[in-house]
Amino acid sequence: MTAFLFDYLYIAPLALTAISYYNGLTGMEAPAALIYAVTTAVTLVLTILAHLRLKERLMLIGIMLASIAGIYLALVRAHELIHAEDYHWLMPVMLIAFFSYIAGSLMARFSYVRIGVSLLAFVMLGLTLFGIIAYPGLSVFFAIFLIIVSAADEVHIRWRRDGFTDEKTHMVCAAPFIASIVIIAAFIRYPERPYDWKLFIDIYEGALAAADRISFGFGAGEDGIVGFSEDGRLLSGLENISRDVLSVNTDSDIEAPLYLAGIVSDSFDGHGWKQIDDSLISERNMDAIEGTIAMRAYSEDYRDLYREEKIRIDYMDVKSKYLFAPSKLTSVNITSGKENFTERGGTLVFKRYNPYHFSVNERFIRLNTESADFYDFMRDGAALDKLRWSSTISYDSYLKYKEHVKGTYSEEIKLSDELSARLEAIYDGAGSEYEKLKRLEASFQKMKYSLNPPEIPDYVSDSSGYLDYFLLDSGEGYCSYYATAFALLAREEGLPARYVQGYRVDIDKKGTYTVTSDMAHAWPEVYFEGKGWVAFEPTPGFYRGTAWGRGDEGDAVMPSVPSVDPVFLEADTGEIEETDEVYEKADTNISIILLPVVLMLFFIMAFFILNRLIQKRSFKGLSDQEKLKAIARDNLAILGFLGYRLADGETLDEYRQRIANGIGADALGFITDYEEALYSDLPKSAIKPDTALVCNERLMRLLKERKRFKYMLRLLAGYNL
Amino acid sequence: MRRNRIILVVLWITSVVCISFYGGTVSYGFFTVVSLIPVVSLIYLLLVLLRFKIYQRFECPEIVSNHVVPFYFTLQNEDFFAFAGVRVNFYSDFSEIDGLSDDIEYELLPHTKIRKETGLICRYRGEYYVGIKSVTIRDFLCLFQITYNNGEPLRATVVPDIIKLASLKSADAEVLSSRESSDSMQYPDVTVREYMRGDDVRQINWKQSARTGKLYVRNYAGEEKDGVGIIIDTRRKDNEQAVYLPVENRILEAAIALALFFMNKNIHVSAYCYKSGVEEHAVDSADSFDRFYRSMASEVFDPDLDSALMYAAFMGYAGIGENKIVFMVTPDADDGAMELAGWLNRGNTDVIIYHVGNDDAGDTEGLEPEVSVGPHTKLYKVPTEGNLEGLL
Repeated sequence: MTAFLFDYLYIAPLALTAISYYNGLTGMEAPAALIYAVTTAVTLVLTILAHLRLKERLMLIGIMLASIAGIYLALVRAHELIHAEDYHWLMPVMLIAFFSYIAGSLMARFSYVRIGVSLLAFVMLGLTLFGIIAYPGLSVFFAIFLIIVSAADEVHIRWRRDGFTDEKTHMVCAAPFIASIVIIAAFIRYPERPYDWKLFIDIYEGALAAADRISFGFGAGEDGIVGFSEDGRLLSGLENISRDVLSVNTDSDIEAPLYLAGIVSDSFDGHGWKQIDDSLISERNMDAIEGTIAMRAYSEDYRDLYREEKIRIDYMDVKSKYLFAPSKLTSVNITSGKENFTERGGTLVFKRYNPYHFSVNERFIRLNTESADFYDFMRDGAALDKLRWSSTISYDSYLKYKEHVKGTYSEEIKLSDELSARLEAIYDGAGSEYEKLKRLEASFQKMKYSLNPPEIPDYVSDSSGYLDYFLLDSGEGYCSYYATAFALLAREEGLPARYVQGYRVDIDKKGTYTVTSDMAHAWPEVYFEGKGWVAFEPTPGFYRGTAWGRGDEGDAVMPSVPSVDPVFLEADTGEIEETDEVYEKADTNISIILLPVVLMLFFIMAFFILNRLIQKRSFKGLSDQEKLKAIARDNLAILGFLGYRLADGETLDEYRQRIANGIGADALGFITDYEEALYSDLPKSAIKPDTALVCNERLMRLLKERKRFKYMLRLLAGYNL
Repeated sequence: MRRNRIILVVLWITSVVCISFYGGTVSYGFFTVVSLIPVVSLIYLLLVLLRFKIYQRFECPEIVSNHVVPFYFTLQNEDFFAFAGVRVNFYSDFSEIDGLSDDIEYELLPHTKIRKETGLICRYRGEYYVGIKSVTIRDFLCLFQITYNNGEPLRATVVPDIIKLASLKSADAEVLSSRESSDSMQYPDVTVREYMRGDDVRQINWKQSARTGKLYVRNYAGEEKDGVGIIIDTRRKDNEQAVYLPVENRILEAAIALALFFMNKNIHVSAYCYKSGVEEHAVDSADSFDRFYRSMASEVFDPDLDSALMYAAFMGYAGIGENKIVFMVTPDADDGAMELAGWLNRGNTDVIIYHVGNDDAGDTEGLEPEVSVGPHTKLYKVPTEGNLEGLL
């Protein structure tokens, strides 16, 4: 049994691998399971035949022929016509199985064959990997199993040990462990794409970000903002670490978020924002002036459009080189120390790091973005000409500022056709650029917020690529992703837009609010000529407009923006299609089963009867000594059935003494005669089989009493000649 | 094993490269299989660790050092899977297994056992672990191995060896058995002996001295010494078992060998050791020797023994000075030992000190006096290893 299993360890996987490759190359018109079944059956029968004795081989061949004949007869009886052309695949399968059996047998016996075939299997796997040849996935594991078994066998052969080192038993015992490896691997579903190592990259970047945050807090580096990706990169995973950064004191009773801008960025490279512009133009102040002038010029009830508020910001134990302030800043007053900051490219930076525990009072303009009046203003407000310009700052300066804004925050972006079509659907019927962007903002609100979006692929290298990837492929991200997409789409519409990082503080009423690092946020701001910068909130879940009462007309009502369906990509579960082949079950015709079985049984009975007749005839022709030996061997076999097997290295006399108590001395008298027949110099005629015959009868009676089934087998088998 | 591990690491790196550039069943399957191999190997090792059975015993009620004792051990596999590589490691500090080395690795197929019958040799007297110390198991791919300590080690109590000395190199036994000095002049009641420092000058026999040119003192009847004394110093000088076991073993072997030697020469032997007082063992017959041997076999060496008290006790013990010669077997030939020797010399007793130890052992073949303290005291260095026959 061990020898059979050992050979089959090599034959079966080799045959299955070979047939899989052949099937992959030629595409046989038969279900894969049937092909495997035939291959397994052929190799199994051949291996069994090789390990049987002649008599048993003949019996097995007879049984197979009988069953085949029975199937044929059953089919004929059922008037089923057998079309040979439907089974043309059988011949190559059986041939491959046969040659695989030969090769597998050689592998089992010769080391160099084993190594050669294993290397060949390795090469075939490599060719498959590179796409040169193809085959059903499961057979990869047959090949791998074969390679590992060969390796384990070679390890065993070269390993010098004492004790029981039989190669075949060792390998048969090791095979279940090897098979468990392959079976577990075979049950896993594998992606078709190479591994992107996202987890490890996320861990690495997370560790870097954490290190950066630590260095931020201790002023170890040039970065000063706690909670930001200082270099403006859009990261694939964020960790919410909450740490007190600032405290804001406001006397405003408006329930609205307060956006404290930190870094203003103007250039996007597909993966992150940079601030290229470092001009000293006071964008924040100019923005406040432009907006107020425009709103005052538009309506006498400009207080319904904007109001000036003041806040005090206290910096806690954090070193930062950025001054946080709302965008439309009218004044900044640092309460301790002299003013040592400047504005570069819209960003307020300290010349050196801020001192610890200092405060700054700021005044800024807040827009009533949720009011209908503001909506109308954005739609109908005209550009500011020199006549309406009423400021201490010259109109020429204003013009230079406008040119600066257009030159710095504009970008020509070409959208893909699909994205253009989707945007067209969103913008369709919008009455103004502002309304378009409000619709876009509403559409973004229905997308998916995620702190762990997929990393932006390397092939994204510009704004167009990013928009296609984010809106048509990924569809998820956090504030930076949405702010980026919104700003780029605004630019695509021809409107200057910028990407702002800072803090978003939810204000409910007047009082003091602690700003923590997890309030770090990014949002887009769009420049409308003659009106100024307007901030938008495209990040899902974060929208909360600013509105205050209209005075005698009650609460302001924002003209309703048409409800926009989420036209951008929703999450795709990406279910893998099942590709298992469907194996058609054959009709079960009872006679196909019954007839072969009957024929097989008939054959077996006939075989045993014939076998007994042949044995009896042969027995008669034997000499007395040979008869004695035959009967003695048979008696020993019966004793084996009874559980008294001759042990290795045990003499017959020792054996007899050992089992005498269990069997009885009267049934063991043949052993002495047998010993004499084997080892003594007595003439052949002196040894008679009579005692052995008597013992045989007694042992058969014992066998019948104790183990009836084995007794029946012995009756059929006859003498062991 | 290292080669197999390197191959596995190379394959794993290759698989990682494959999955980084190629998707599909081949690359990921290869990676998964290579990653699972060490996991399954470790699981296999744990299974073997849990299921492996080992039996050992030695058949001798009493183990004598340096004598072979029958030792058996059985490795057994009662499971359905093979134990690919099992190596048995024996305790080797103080014992060895005859004919078996630690290099042999065994394989056990399902439901098989290996039984080895061999011999155990314990080198030193004492109580310590012998036999199988640990078992190292390797997996079928020779990738990993686990060594686990035998949870039920065999503890052996070993008694010292009885060494029969053919001769004594450090002292002339015939002389010791003689009652008279060969240099003495026979007077009816007075004999003479050579002058020793410290002798009373009034006892100088001027006539003999003038005749021979050497100083001789009168040796009155009743002054003749008889018998041999053996002082066994039972101080333990080191707390490390690997150090003190060989020393104590040698001390006891030497003492027993000396006692046996002189008993066989019909010379009375008195053995002295100190516990809370001086204990004397008289050895002049087989029975008394047996009692002495049993006592030595169970002798406990004391690391806290006060040297000063011990020497004082010996010097205060009258019987010691009545020996013709005293053998002192000690792990430390310190000033106290010299003082004791001097005291004995003044009482006309010769002293031979055997300093047992391995510091600067020197030549173990020929016995040379390390220090000649005086004409009546000799100091010999006795290493812990080597045949005692040539060392005493």
